[in-house]
Amino acid sequence: MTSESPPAARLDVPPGYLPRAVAFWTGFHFKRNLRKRSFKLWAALFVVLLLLMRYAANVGPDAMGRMIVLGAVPLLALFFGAGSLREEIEDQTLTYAFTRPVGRIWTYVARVLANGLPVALLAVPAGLFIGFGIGEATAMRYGFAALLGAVAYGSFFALVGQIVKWPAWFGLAWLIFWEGGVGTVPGFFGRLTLMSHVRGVAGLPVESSEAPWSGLWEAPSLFTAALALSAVTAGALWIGAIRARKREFVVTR
Amino acid sequence: MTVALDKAGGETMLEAHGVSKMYGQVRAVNEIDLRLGPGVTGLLGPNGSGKSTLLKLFAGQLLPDTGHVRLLGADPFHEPRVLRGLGLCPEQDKFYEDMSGHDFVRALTRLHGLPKSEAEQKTYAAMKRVGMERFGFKKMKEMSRGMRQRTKIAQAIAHDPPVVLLDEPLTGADPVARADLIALIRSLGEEGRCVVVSSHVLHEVEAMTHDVVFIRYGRLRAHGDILRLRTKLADRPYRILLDVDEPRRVAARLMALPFVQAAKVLDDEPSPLEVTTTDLDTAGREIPRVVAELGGVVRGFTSPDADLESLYRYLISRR
Repeated sequence: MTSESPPAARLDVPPGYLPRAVAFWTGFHFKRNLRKRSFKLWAALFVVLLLLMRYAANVGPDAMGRMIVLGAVPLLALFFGAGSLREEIEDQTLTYAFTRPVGRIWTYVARVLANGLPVALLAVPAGLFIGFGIGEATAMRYGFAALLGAVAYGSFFALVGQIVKWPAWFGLAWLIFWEGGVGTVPGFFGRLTLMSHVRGVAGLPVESSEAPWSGLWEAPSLFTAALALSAVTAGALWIGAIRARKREFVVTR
Repeated sequence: MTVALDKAGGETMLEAHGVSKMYGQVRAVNEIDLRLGPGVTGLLGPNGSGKSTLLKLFAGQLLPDTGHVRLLGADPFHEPRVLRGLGLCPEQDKFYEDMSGHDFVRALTRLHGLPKSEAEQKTYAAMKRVGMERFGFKKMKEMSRGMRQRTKIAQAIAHDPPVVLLDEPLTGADPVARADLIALIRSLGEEGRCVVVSSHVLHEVEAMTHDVVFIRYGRLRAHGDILRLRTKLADRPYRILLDVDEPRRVAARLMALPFVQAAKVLDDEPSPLEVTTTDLDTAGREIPRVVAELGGVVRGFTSPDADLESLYRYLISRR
């Protein structure tokens, strides 16, 4: 801080400030997330569960892949994604970020990315590791599905976290009844769920143990599913960012 | 009643024009017109009067229901780039608690898009300026309230903004820290920044500035120099406490003077005579002369209504 410089000279924005600020804020919160006790707990639980399933219960790689890509990814994304903005509102720290020139849209995007990355950090290596037990191509699909699922679910639940008062309960109900239930329905309605597209990317069709009509269920192609998940990510981020820009966030009154 | 005095000259750095803001059914800010330029301005008013809401409007956190707010000529809610010129010390005592004060300030400085080295340099300068260079590496959760306040001010000034909004900045600071921060705030104003300090600790505001804004029930009640405001409020009665001998005789003589409204003899008081006047200057000249004519001397002449505290009470008590 230079106390001598005249006021007008202090308004210049450094060139390239926006990408630099967004990258910094993403990394800043990503690192903070990794240091949180809750993340360490989730990570430990996740790894222990995988090891127990694989080596104690002798669960096969296909079932474990399902558990990671279709179970852990949405759950972790709900836990991290829903808190993207909400935790800063509850902690009353949002004021600091929202009074900076980077703007609310990009602050929001950075925050969602920062909360999506820990999910990807846990799920992608796990997906790859388990997938290699089946084959290289499966590993790539599991990893890709974990990544796309993490960002799509993360963006979606970040938006939910802005709108709904109890996003964790809403999200759980959503995952069980909509994603888990409707996601197994063949045809148009099934395609409205993120789960069906994650299945499409991972190559994990509905099994008979999940739904009696599994024989009728047809997975979307890898391309279509990846496109759908990317579109949901972009759409949820865009709506969330516009909401963040337009909405007043009163952290204290 | 609104009393307004324009500041002589100076550019407008903060402007509110016809600004109102509702929280549900509560009108927190009501039709406020205000223009502020370089220097320190004290924003005064009781709790719930709308001070913090006004600062939030200036900082682009809230959108006015009517009217408009301009920060350095731009709308801070819709044009975030202008926030480059803003430093805000919010009212809440909230931080990223697991971080050191230094890291906290540096992180927020980097959010202005500054490279790491430049942000580091500015952070160090700001922490030094608020007297936190020795304690900056403590974690926020381990800091005293005073240290946290200093750190909060450091994050507001580190990026060298021309406009600084400080919401209750001295809360929790010990007396030494208060004196330091008052000096710091004065120096920020002297550097040509527009500094707005919200507070209800009146003598501290008086130590920072003579330019004050009074708010009550969300309305602007008065704005200007404390001394000029006092003159402007010509109908306002002042009490003068006089320490004189023979207070009854002096009171009878003073009651004959046109600028004296009342004179009351107080028993068992160090200043046994209370005079009420609307013309403090004339009273200050004439009363000692009249007492001298009576063969007495004025040992004590004080006006409990002439300080900021009483002016504040007077202004907020009037509807």
